[in-house]
Amino acid sequence: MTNMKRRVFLKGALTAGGAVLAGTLVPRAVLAAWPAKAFDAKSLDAAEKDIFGGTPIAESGKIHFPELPTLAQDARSVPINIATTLPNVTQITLFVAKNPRPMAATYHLSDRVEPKLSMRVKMAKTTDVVAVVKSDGKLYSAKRKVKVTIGGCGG
Amino acid sequence: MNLSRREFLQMLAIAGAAGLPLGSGPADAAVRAAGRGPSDFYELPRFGNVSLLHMTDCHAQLLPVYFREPSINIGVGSMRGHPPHLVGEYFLEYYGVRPGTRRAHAFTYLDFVELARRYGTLGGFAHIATLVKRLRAQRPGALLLDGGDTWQGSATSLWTRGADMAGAQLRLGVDVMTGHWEFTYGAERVMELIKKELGGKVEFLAQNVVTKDWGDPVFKPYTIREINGVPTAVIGQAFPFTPIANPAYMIPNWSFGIDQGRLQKTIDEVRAKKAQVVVLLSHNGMDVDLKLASRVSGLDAILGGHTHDMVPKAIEVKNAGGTTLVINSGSNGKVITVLDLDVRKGGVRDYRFHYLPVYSNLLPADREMQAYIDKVRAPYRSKLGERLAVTEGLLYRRGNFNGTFDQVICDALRKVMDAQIALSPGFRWGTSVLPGQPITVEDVMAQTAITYPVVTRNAFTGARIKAILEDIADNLFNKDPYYQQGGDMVRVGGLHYTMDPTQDIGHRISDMELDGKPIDPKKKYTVAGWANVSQPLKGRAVWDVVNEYLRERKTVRVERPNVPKLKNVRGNPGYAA
Repeated sequence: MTNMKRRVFLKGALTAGGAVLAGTLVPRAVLAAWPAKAFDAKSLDAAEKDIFGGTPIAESGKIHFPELPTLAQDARSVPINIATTLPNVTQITLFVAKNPRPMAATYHLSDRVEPKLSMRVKMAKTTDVVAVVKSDGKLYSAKRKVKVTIGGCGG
Repeated sequence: MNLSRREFLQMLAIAGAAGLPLGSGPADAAVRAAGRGPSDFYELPRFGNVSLLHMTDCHAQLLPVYFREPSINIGVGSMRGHPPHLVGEYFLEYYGVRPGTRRAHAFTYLDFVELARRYGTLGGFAHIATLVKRLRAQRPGALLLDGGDTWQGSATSLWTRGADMAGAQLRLGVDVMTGHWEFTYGAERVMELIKKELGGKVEFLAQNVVTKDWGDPVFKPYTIREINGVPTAVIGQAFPFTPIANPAYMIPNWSFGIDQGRLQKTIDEVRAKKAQVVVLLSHNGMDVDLKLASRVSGLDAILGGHTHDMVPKAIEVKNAGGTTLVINSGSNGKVITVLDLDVRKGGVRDYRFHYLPVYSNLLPADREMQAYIDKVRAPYRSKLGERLAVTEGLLYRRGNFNGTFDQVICDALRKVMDAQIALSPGFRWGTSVLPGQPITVEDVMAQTAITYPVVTRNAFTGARIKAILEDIADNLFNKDPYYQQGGDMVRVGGLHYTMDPTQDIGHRISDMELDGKPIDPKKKYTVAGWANVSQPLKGRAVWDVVNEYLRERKTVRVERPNVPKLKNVRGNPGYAA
């Protein structure tokens, strides 16, 4: 792995699972399945409805946000890690509840990928980040609040 | 026996100077006769085999100071009525401290002026040095841990960009430190002071500062030192919200956080390396430390700072791995704390904890340290000593809302900047000036010495002003400590409002008024302020504005600090006003 070239590694990753990430370049094959409506939705409810077609979502304690900040250091680039111990994960989707367009990313995972993701997102204001995981064909979610503050005055 | 106050003070001074334990002999009789408690706090029975000395948040006060503790330090939610949210009588009762004693004076605001005149100043590096030497003689092998906020808070620290304090730390024999305000000198200067000035003699530790790009550690996360044959690990925890509370542009490539997960991994790593004692030298603030202690396992103690809390007893916090002691060692050099650990069969079996007020008239100045202090101050002496005005009443800052010194700053900002409203940051540092004393340039700098001092004048709508107050209030009174950023409420001039600390964001602030008229959410008001964290600014420094105002006034009289009308605080042990 350490000797593997970055380009080769990326190719391998894309073969393993197709990633759809808002605002980044994606291979044409994936573009075909681009969930434009969900990404453009203006509310969390509407986005979830568009991407999951109204399938019920159950809360789960098995979805984690390792090292998620409680206060955003820089709201323009908030690091978010998602990890889950749920079995047979095929899709992980991230929403930032009160962003103008809440759906931030959705990832399709093959069975050769460990369900563990890292990304950075822009946050408009204090709100929940919501992860929805598809496991054994069912949907599970977890959320955590990240605070966006004007700062200053500490100390 | 009828002692005059002056004789009594002389007795104490002699007892202290001679290093006598006030447990027997004529000095003790004098103390008893005068109805005070024992006053040599400094002869402590030895206990255990590992001793840690802790100081924190001295805010670059090389000289002894007066520092009034808060009369308002409200705890909300589960923090209500628990240390550190106890003030005044509540504090004395909780800890069984007798009113009017040296301890009562060091730890609370009660009868501040009278007791300050009776007992004198606290802290000062020459006096701290004497105490540290005595403690080290009693406790061979003891480590001295400095929790940070050491390089900032005075004129000389600002003008030497921290070098005066690095020199004092070396002479004091600080073994390990972490940081917060240190970072406001910028990444490059921090590294320069650590590498060149401290030169490896004082280790700067922080497990929770990493590079923004790859998440690589910026500082060494921990050190393992052998104390009397016991491998003792100290992990560093810098202030997790530095880039939010202070300018992020000073440290553009560093990322901070509480990083509880990485901390657990670090604890596990040092335990695997056979550390028998593991402590966290933390700048989280007490409420965050208490929560953290309940969430991670394997820490014997958290030696904390940031919130400047006087907490004379260690708090035992239960967690999955056992018990973690949480302590906080005040500020401004007022106290040195001693944690003695009995370590046997690979772990801590028992402990004793001592909270020692550093009374400068009980501890003679260490000659070497005093000579160093005199030398670093010499080039600035005449400038520092300029008398700007005389104060008629006590000037202080510390507390959740405006102190009297804040009021002076706000008045100066409004007057000199011609603004309707003034906003001044709720820093927890800033020393006190007694009634009748001159206010010097040095005193003003002790309230304002920061690397981003430029004053601003803006036109804000009433709605915007409310949003600012709500945002800052939530950083102070959020019921979850992990969402608190530290510091106190922003100080206001001109503006009056009502505050309910028990509410949630958006609902704490009401009844905003200016000159008796309600604030109109849509109308614009001129607002003067300082300490903008968003970008470097060019302009006048706040101390210039305050100095100009004071020079014109000659005498200062603050009737009453502008504290908001408070709701739902009756009976709260953090509220004594």
